[in-house]
Amino acid sequence: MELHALKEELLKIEASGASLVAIAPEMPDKVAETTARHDLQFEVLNDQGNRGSRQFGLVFSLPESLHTYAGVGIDLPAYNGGERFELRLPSTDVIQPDGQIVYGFVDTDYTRRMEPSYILDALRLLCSGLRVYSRGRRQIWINPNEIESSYFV
Amino acid sequence: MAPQQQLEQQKRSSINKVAPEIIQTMAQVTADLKASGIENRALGRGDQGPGFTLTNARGEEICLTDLFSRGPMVVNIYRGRWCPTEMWSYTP
Repeated sequence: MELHALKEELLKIEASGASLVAIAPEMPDKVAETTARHDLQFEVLNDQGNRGSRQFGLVFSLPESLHTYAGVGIDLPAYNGGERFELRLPSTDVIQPDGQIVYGFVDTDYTRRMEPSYILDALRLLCSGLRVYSRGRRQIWINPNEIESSYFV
Repeated sequence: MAPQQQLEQQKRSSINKVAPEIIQTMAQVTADLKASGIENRALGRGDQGPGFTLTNARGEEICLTDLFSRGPMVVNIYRGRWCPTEMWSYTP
């Protein structure tokens, strides 16, 4: 669902001047397989052992009550590499060039996703040259070319 | 159809195919996860995105900080094929 939906949104994202990177939990050969099967034009990075998603704070241990999940046709430790029954929450972040997260969506309910239109709105603002200035989780959009540096003294 | 609507529809149709005790267990796990506060600990708006390096499908090392500096970017972290909502899309 998610990759499929993103593929459709990719054209719009690229039209806005931004790009997309997907971070996959799978072992290397699985990433290549996924990329080929979906004819994906965006970068898919291999996040074996959840090294990257851990830094986003998204990793949790699968409770024992759900270990049988792995018996429903998927061997989770084998698939993702490692011994642990660890999973990550899915997330989608819009990031501006200085590395700051402008908009982020993470939810524990795996049946919910951020609507792509929210991403596109943020990307259009970024691609028009605006940037976000944050204090905590409060944000304002600014045009860096129109702001006197003294504003921030 | 909007993605959220599609998911809601899949959610309803899947409930008929999966054993009730599994549905119940998953609902409990979801509730526990929410209660653990993981959503608030995860990076979000206003935070700095991490700059780790991972390999892409061609085995090349890609540094996230380098990607960010090239322009506005969407980073999508997905669960993988085991996720029910994603497995549907893998069905030919």
